[in-house]
Amino acid sequence: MTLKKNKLKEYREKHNFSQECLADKVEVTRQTVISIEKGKYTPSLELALKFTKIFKCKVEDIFGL
Amino acid sequence: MKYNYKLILWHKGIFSLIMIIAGIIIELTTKTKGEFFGFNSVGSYLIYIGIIFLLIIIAYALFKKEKKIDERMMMHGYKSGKITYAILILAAFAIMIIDGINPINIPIHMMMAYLIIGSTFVLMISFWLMSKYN
Repeated sequence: MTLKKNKLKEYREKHNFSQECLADKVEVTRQTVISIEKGKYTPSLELALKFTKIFKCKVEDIFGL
Repeated sequence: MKYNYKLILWHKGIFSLIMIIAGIIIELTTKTKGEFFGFNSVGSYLIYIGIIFLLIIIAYALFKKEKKIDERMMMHGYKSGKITYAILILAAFAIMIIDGINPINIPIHMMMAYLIIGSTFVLMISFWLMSKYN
């Protein structure tokens, strides 16, 4: 299942984070962040919530079906 | 999710110690000893394997850097395991058919060696491919 709405890259660039920096913050590898941004991998709820905590927004602001 | 690397090493260490202890017990209690995979007895084989395993774990703990393992890699590991299992079933079926046509005569230790190396190889290749293209 792929997400139709994926604004992770937008949010990351808005907050001036590199892929490596964001990956370190959410405790995943850089490849995982790349895969999520490209829409190849759907993150778990835990990981999605970690993103929302960093970007101070709702899950549906970043991801959507 | 953080992968508890030290805990896994502890589990492996305990397992190798159990192997060594079991080997000593078997060595002391078994009266009849027969050749086992090139060793004098099952006990000496277990002790040898346990010590080798323990040395590898110590080397891991001392020299290997902690690797970051995340949920995506875990998922790939799970999927590659499933692929390996499916390939093993297909290979078993193919071998069964080939054996029916032309009987295969191979020692059991050789078959086990082929099985372990083959499954490890398939697991590694499928994991690598999944990490590369997903």
